[in-house]
Amino acid sequence: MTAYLVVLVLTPLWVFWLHWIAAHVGHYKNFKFPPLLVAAGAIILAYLLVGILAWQVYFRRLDSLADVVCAVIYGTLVFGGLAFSYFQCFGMTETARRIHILRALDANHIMTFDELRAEYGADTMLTVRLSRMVELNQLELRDGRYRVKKRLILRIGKAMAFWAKVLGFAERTGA
Amino acid sequence: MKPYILLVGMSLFFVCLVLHVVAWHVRRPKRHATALLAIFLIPCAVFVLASKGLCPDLPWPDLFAIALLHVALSFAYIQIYPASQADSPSLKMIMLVDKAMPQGLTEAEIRAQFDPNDLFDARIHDLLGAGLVQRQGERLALTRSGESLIKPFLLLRKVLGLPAGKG
Repeated sequence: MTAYLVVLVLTPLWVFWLHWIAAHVGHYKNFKFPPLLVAAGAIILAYLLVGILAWQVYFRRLDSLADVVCAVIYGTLVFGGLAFSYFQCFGMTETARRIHILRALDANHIMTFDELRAEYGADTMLTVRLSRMVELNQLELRDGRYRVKKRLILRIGKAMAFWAKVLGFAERTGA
Repeated sequence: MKPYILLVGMSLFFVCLVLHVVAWHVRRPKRHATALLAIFLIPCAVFVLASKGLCPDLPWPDLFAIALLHVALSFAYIQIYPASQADSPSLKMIMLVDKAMPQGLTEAEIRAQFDPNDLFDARIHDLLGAGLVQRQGERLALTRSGESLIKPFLLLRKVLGLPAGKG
């Protein structure tokens, strides 16, 4: 089982390695996939890779089906947790407002409030987010109006709003 | 794999999750990330050491497997937690559009629902409060902590060959 655990502990490295390959192939071939989708694709590929490695080092040696089922559920949960953490870290470099502001300050060393606002004010933030939602097929723009297209991020939003209530945060939009 | 590993690992996570909910209702901490790390990691360490102390026959790989499952689930939760703690503009945007379905919303209608101060100025104040950014007269600059925090993110994008994110 130790080898299986090592394979699982290395999940962020497997994901990063495949993400690196996918990002560079995409750059070389001039593909225009949204970076978050490329990261998600790398996670799916890493899941397959970890599955193959797990079969080689552990699953095929198990005696009963119950052990295999347990090991697969266990591996999926550990892989999911660690891969999701990687995805969130990468997502922060792509979408987080605080990271964007820190990056702008790192690049320019010292900026006034107005200079920062000019580079990344509320208008820019909303424009970037609307474009991203359309790019990710979550919203569609038709006849000058935005409409919900796919419901994945909407469902995440509703789940987060529900969890915010459980934690005792004030009611939020759409909750 | 012994089923108890899966069962105990998940139970440990859910116990910590309940502790977190109770703690947030009793007294919400100022430093959320530190408190979450403490709530999820300290019980896990205590559990592993206590289990080994009480049942010396328990093999280390089993205990490590339990801890790994707990840590993986905890990290995923801690990463997603900020989305429930603060309004994410993207989530808020898509929920506003959903409320207005089937006719949807124009860009101007969406913009009208956001307070520019909350979107931008509040984030600057968060960064100042967290000691990641400092005032130098009328100007803003990164602190040492801010520099240390941003470098790994910049490195990740550089290694992946990606330009800076759009935020």
